[in-house]
Amino acid sequence: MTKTNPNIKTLKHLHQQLIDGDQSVSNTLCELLLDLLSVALNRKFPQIDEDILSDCITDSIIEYLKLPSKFDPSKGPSLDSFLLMASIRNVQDFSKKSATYSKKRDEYREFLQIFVAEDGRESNIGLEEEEFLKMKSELLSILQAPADQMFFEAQLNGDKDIGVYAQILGLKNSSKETQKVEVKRARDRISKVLKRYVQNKRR
Amino acid sequence: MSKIREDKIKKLAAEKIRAGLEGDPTFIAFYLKKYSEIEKKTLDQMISILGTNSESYEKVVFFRFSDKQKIVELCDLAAKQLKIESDKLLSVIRHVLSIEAITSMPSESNETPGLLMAARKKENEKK
Repeated sequence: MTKTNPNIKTLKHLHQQLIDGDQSVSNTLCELLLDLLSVALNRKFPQIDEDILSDCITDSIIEYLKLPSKFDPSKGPSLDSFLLMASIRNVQDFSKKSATYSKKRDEYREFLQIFVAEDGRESNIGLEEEEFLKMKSELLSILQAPADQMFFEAQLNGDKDIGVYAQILGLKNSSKETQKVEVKRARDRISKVLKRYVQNKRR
Repeated sequence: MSKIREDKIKKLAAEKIRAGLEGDPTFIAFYLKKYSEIEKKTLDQMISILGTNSESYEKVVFFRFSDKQKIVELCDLAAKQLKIESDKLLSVIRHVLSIEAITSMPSESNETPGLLMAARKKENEKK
């Protein structure tokens, strides 16, 4: 995306037309932006999936189409650079979210592996995605009470806040001390039920 | 390889933008899509209903429709800028708006008068 690109001038012109009320140019503008942004984003993030990049472009273009006046050509960058920056921000946001998700998923995995391991020896065995999800739903189905299922889900999510568990147990208004005791009791009980199930299954 | 990837990104984004506009009531695309679903019309039929051609149809879907009070002005603007019939576009949008208004009515609103009447009746009986 260089300044010599003839599309840049056209873009500026089309943007002005749009601002002046000619909505019939939106389609052409969108086509041009798609051309420029898909090339630029592909170069910048060759390792990121096409589907994700297209999502990031889509979001920035739709935002612009909703409120074209948000872009002010007198403030500096050209329209394509403005939207490229927005798209890059979207990619970065996505990467952050995805890193958090993957960290959480790893914690999940670790938790389940330790949980189902008889004596910790198996905890280093890697679980495939499918196997992991199957195991999770299997263990959840063992817990019949919805509150127990939510409690276990929260454990898998890596929630450390006692308040979350207390709320699940309906102890939101109880004292901190009671919450602590009851949450521990529920954790031990659920853990016992699941461990018994896993052990029986192995026999 | 890079060109293929670029084209794929572009194609995907174009499809998603289209879907995004069709799911957003601030664009005419939303009303045209809804109308075609409700009335089971194909793209060609929609083009014919609006008395337009595919090129103008592709453009009108991008029109912003942020102010429902200015529906007539918007249709006139579309007719002025594209080959499209203002009154036909207006009737399509109004049709969808009226259906949306009916379907978005909370179910309680149908029940409330009945409940109120029953309560009043009971109250009168007591008296």
